[in-house]
Amino acid sequence: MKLLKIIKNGIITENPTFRLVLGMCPTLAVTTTAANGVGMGLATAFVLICSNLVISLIKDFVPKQVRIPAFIVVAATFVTMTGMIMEAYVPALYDSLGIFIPLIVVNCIILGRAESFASKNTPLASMVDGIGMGLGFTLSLTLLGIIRELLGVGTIFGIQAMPQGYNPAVIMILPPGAFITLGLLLGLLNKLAAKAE
Amino acid sequence: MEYAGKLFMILLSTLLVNNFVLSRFLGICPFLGVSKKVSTALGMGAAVTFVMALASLFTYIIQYTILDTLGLEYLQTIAFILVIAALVQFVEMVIQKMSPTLYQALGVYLPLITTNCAVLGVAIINIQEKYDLLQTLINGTGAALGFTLAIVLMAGIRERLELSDIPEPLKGFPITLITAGLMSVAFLGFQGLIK
Amino acid sequence: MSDIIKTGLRLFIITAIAAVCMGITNLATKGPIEEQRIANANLAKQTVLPQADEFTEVGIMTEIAEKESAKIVEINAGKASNDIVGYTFKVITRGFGGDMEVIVGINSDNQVESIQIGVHSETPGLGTKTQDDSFMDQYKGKSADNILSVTKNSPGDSEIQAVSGATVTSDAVTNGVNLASQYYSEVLQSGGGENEAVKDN
Repeated sequence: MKLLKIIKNGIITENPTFRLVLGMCPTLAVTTTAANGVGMGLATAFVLICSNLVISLIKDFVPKQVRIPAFIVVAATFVTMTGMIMEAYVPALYDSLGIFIPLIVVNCIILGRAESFASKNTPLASMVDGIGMGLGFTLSLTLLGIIRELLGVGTIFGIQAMPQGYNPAVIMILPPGAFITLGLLLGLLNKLAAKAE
Repeated sequence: MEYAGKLFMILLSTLLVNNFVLSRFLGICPFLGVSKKVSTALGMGAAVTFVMALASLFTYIIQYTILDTLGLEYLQTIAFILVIAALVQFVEMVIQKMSPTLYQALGVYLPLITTNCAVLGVAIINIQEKYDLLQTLINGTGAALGFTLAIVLMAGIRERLELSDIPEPLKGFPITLITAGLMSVAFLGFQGLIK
Repeated sequence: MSDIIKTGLRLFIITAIAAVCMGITNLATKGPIEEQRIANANLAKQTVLPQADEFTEVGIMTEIAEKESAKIVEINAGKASNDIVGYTFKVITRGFGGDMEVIVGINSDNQVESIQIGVHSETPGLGTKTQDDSFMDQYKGKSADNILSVTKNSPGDSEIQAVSGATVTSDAVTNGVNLASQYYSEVLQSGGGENEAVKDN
């Protein structure tokens, strides 16, 4: 029951994108298409789950003073491994995410969760926290990707979704579209949250 | 002459056309977090410029003297991030010893810079673009100045936004993001500046 | 003192394990990554010159291959049952957002067989429309003797209709194709360049 709560916490209560506003760089940069959003989300989730698990396992072994460098080493290792595996088996996705794959290592979500959750909780709970946060991040990126792709290209996951004759608003898949979509979405969620209270 | 022209192009491109924050989405976290006041934004910009120039230099040396010669290119990410973390720590200690005033001004931002993806980003881009040492330094400094430009402009706008009547749900991050979007539209105008 | 050693040692152990993990992954993925790369490069060549089934790299005469607006970086002779059926050119040209890669296939009938756009940083939705078949197909069958130019109106024989809103990108692609055609007519068509310039590999 407690584990379910941790997952819900990651997806809704403390959604990394919409509630904690963490990891903004990849969120804005790669969500030009829904597929990119899913890919980036899953890659980050994978790194987060693994690093949370490992950090929780070694938390008593790591001396306090060098905690942060040790966490960075763990995160960077999983990022590098993820990158190599993606390059080998999903090269198209690897190319379109580009520099944002190595940059997963400086995604505040990874170090943030390591410091505030994994270094204080059991391995199982830490892994579940990784799953919850990872899912929350993936869902947010996918949502952004869907909105931008739909308005900017007229498709969702590459499938035509707008009626014929729709003239795509190219600005949506350019950098300004990323900022404005996320800004409006955050505003909308704030409004909904205020109403719910 | 041609080489000097290329250097100028790199500087112009990284400062305006491919502005790190507004068109490449690097360094968004401090851009949103530390842009409430012009003075703090300037401090952050200065600290980032310092670290980015040094990081460009050191990662360049490490890439070509160690990683490439030993065939360990796949260790790039981990080597670079550790160099940057160590560098930030080192810069912090030096500034603290040398100039307490500067330390007071920059001190709070320094630890934040390790996880500023613009620093790791510029190091990786330098290698990807196969820049030589001088180009690397120009690119590193230019990118940092571009970051400073964006964050200071943003802080100027936000100081005024404070006084405006903004709809309740848009206060804070949403209005900042929308503002950034409009700035990004303006920066799009620089595209095609370089041909 | 012993505290520092203990701390250092533990950090070292973590780093060492990390290095081993990365080393193993690198060994495991090196092969597939290399295969992917070769397969991708071959796929592009195959697409622009489908009648060839084997490609061999050919040396480049730099003084003809480099122009201000474009530069040929790789030439391959395409062969079918050991006869040369055409050449593929990888050209780097200057687009709107930076360098872009154009791959051009020219067949031995002296015609552009087909083109592909490789790595680029053009504006999504505008410059990227040059990757649509409707744009790229315009080059098919153009004679390599002609210099193509870009027009905004309905195109004539040696003209290409620009993607609206992306004239610079359309120009860049056309420059790339022109350079390849020119190089082909001047060096390769007669078969002259091929004999002396074939690379040993």
